[in-house]
Amino acid sequence: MTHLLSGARGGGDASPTPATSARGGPIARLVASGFGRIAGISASLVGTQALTSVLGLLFWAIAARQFAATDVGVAGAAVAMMMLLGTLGSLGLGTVLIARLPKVDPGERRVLVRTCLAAAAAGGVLLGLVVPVVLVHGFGAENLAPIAGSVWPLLGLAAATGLTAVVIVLDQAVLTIGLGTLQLERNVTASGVKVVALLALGLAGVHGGMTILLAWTIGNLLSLPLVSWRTRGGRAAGAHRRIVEPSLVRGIGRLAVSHHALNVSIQAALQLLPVLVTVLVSARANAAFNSAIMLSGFVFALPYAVSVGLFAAARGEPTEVVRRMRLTIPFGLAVSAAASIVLFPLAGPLLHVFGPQYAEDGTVLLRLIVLAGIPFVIKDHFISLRRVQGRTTQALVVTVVFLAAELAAATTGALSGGAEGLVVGWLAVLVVEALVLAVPLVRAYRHDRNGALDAAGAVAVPATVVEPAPAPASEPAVAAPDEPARAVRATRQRSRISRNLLGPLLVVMAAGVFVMAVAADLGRLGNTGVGAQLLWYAGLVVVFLPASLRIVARATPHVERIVAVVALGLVLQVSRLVLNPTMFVFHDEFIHADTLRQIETSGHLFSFNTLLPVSAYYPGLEIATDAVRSLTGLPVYAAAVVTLLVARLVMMLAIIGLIGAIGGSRRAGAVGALVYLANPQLLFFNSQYSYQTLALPLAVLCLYLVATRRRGGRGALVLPIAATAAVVLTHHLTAVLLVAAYALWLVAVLAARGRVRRAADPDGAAGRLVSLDRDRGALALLTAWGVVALGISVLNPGNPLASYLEAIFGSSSSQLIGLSEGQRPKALFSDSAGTGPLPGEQVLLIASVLLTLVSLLVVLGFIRLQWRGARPLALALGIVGLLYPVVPGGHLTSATAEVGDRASGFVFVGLAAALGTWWWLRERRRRTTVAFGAAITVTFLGSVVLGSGPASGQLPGPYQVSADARSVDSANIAAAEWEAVGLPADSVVYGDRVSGLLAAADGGQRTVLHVSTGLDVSRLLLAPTFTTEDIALIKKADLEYLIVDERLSTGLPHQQFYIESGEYGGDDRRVPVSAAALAKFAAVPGVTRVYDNGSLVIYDLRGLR
Amino acid sequence: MSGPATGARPGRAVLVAAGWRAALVLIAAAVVALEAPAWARLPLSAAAAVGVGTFFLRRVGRRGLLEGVLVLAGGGLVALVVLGLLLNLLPTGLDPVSWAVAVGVLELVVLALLAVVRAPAERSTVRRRLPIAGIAWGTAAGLVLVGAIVYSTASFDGTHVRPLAVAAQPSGEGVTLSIMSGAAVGPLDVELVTADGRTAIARGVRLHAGETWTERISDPGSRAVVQVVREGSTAPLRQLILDEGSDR
Repeated sequence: MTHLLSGARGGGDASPTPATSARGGPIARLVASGFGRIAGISASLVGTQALTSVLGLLFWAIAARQFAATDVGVAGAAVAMMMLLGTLGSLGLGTVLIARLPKVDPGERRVLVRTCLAAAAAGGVLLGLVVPVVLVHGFGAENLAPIAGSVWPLLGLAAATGLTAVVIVLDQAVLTIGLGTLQLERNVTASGVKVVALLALGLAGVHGGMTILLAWTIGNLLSLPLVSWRTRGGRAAGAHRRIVEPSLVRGIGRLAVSHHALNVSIQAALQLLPVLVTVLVSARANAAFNSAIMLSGFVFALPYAVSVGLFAAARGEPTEVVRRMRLTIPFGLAVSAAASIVLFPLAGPLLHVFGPQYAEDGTVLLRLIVLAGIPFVIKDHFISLRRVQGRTTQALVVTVVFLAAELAAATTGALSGGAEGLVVGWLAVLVVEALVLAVPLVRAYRHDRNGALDAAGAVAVPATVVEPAPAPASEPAVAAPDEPARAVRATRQRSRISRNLLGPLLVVMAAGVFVMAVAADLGRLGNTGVGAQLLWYAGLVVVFLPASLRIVARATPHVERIVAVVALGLVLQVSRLVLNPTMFVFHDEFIHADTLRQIETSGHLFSFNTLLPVSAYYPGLEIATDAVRSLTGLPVYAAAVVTLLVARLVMMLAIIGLIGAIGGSRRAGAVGALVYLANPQLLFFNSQYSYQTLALPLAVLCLYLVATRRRGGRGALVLPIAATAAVVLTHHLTAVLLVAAYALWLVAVLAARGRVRRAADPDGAAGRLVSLDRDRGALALLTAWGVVALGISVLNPGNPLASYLEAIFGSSSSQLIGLSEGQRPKALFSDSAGTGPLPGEQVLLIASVLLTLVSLLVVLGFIRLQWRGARPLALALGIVGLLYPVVPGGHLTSATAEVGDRASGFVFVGLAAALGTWWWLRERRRRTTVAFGAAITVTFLGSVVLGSGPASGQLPGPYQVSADARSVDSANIAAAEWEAVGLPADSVVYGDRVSGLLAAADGGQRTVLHVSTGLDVSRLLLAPTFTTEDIALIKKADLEYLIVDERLSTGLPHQQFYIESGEYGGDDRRVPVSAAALAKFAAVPGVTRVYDNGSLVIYDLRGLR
Repeated sequence: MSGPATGARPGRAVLVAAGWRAALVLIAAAVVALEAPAWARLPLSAAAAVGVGTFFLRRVGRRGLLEGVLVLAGGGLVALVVLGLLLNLLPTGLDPVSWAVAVGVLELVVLALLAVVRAPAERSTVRRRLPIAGIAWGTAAGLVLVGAIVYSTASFDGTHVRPLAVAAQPSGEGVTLSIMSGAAVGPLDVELVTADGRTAIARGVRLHAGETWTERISDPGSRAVVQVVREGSTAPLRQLILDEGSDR
């Protein structure tokens, strides 16, 4: 920033005309292009940079020779952190001074400077205290412990950061008061003192990484008297008695913050990378990395200075920047490429300046890092262009988004390939970034060449993220020619509408997923506290909120809105992968994985699934997955992921299409799809590998196909009929509800038909009647076909659907009856093990339910509107939406909670239709739009808690008893893997809930469960002693192996049961099962223990049969 | 959209477009039927599907890209589910060969129908630019997503280390003992404890990460316990119980 503003203030000759440049020879063209002026400014900047860099190099070379590599690494990370936090802490006050100092009374100048310095110091100290503590204690960055693990180093770092913030502000202030060389003088003084201090401390025998930081700080501190002496003032300077005066800096913060944020975002990557290397690799690795970064600074300096000079020389004229880029970009690229070539052989010798170890560790790093100079040229020019166009906010958004991507890629690279991997990951994103940012440069150049550019900043239109999109049909495409003012307004409005931010939005969403991945990683490392949970929610917010705001905003281009909502649905589906990237972990997923395994083994459908027999009779999801697996050769889990992603794509598009069909606008469809994403089952249950995850999209597709079919067409119902069959083959309950939806729609058609017939205008109604008659016939046919298909599926030999549904309805109704008779409802905000959501999560949940309940008023209005308009499908959907109270209300009992949650996937289709249509009924103010987007985000977050429980249960972490994903760990995975090879296939086994699931799905065994055999053998695991009753049960169940997870005795089950409903002692369990109960088989004669991994043991029971 | 043109002869361009796609479908079906490795099956199957999909979008565009993609993706899933049900009726059932034939035939039928029966959708006269910026942004987002998944996979693999486990499997007249561990472990002693006392099966066993140690022992004949202990210790880390009566 210092250099940039310094350059911006530099004067120069007037730029030549294009005609001059076109006529002259090469030198004349060079001069005419303004390159001479740019070169002059650049040379000044490079000179200052070079002098301080050489001294800096000397400082680090001495440090490398005097101190251990680990100390240098720690110091490198500390200095990088200090610089970054100092820059952040300076709060852009340097810019404030530049803008404000010339305008204030001479008597108040010192007060203003002191005010800014005090604020910067406070900001720096605060950040220097808080950030390292959070990194070390909140995120477990133990490699930073030498910096912030104890009080004194931490205080030292905080003081150094505060001082850094002060000198950053001071360097900019001195430019304004007419002492241009003072900045150089101060920097040279500070650098020289640092070197002397380092030598002195080394000779005094003081060691450690923080000593190097201390020397650095001493240099900065002792340079301040020089500034004080050189700026000593006269009478006016000392006239003011106040030390600080905050009112002097009021009112000019916004511009300063914009520029400041942009500068920080540009510098942050290079300053954060050493910290990342220290945290993710080691302090020693950072020693070499830091040295390589130091040397690469020389390579980066010249192209950077040229781009800054370009900005300064342009004097606010976009046209000048564009024209001069023709020379500066090739120049910068050539310099960077040449530097890369030259440094390839010289990297090693240069690093020898620091020591042989540095040369050995850092040569490859330096060769890689200098390659970044090439993309930097493009990035620097892009920023110069945007600065001169006054579009710093847009540039800021772009750089921040890419900064997140750079850091994410660097982190990934570091985890997989150490420091070199980090650089490769960072470079990969930089290359993509350069490609992206090159587009607006090329477009600006083309506009300039075509004469479309004008001094009023018209170049602002063709930017990277500005994709002209058609205006909505309801709006005039062009203004009337006799209304110039209106035309300007229309152009401005169109410009706002056409700003396409899809690209950055996608990167932001992806960055949110990365944040969630970091939270999951923390969980796996055992840090499942509030910090990791908050980080996970932060990731969800980053994914959902920006997309939500763009989707509901009227100004968003249509294509961006549609792609954004579809991408949001897909990204939320992908976000599951960061929690469980390699295998199924949920109860229902194991059930369907078992069916899939059986299909793969036998080649046939409708096998006997011991985990849930009814699921094998609805194998649509498994069929599709088997097809993907067979056709692509992908592993089972990857094939399942692909299938689920396609299903999610169908879901999103079908909802958009369906609501578009009933509301006449796909904008409403996109908003409706966003509302649908806020349903409580979306993030986990309806995105897991389970039959309804496919059946729901297919059901909505059916409705869409029927609604949009060509009325009267011969083959119009072929696809709906096939899709209905597919739904019936995929999930029983969804099929029932689809048929019910057809029937409800049919009733609504009949009612609408009656209203239309009674309408006052019989001629106008004729067309409607024909259409309604066709709908009546089609819906009658589809309803009948659905009933027949369901009947066929139920009559499939062995299908236990009737008994399965009867059990669900039986338990639900008995609990509801109990509730009505005064029994205690299920404990709210607590699971069966006594754990529940955090207070913040409870607030989110309640807010979510309240917001959705309030939205039912909109649904009522929607129903009224559709009734009056005689629109049967919309009416039917609205009625479905009104059922929402069933979802939270179901949570009063444990049995109905599941039913209520499952219903949300259907109910929210109605809510989506009503709210999506309502949102586009009228113009919305910006404030309302933001509030609506935020409300949907809150509803989404609260719904996640309502439907899936607290984040602590969703994040990976240490083993918990009977807690779905949290119970799947390396111990029981290892046991299941052994079962697959160590036991005969399809042996009859018994285990707790999770061990049994894993045994079937991954171990290839047949797990005995009451739901499949009618036998309750849970006493084998849970009864305190072994009796003859156990032997009888073993014989009756033909049991061969017993899997015992000895950790069950460590707590109560989180999912109500250790094994399944109705288990031994499960009615009123208040204490965990005893360890003796779990160990009793060790003493039973005839029983062999065939496997033991410390947590799980497997007994061979065949000797008892 | 222009209406259907049943019976009209397809033009040469349409036949060429359908022809190379049909060839691609046949090659993909052959590769799948031969159960080639994933690196061959995946790109060819994907290319065939994309080929048929693009032809579909080109020839049938009722309401634009959204509906086209929806019908393609949704219709594809419906077709797979229904095909799977039909394949189940065959003696071979659902296997790669039957899937290759069924999906290949379906794709060829779709290509033929689209080429012969349907008229092309009206094509926009607006010249579309290649959305370079969009592709670059999409690539950047994809890279970050892939990075997140790679990061999570590395994190999962790093934290899900298989514990030290010991197992016994019947092996002829004796028992094969196995010791497995996801992390380096050792030195360990493996001992057999019977009523007669404690005897060593192996001493100083060291395992690298992921390695399995095996040793075959004869049937002890009566109840015995196999213990894995740290070298020089008697406190069992893991233990097996071998007893009479089972089908060892």
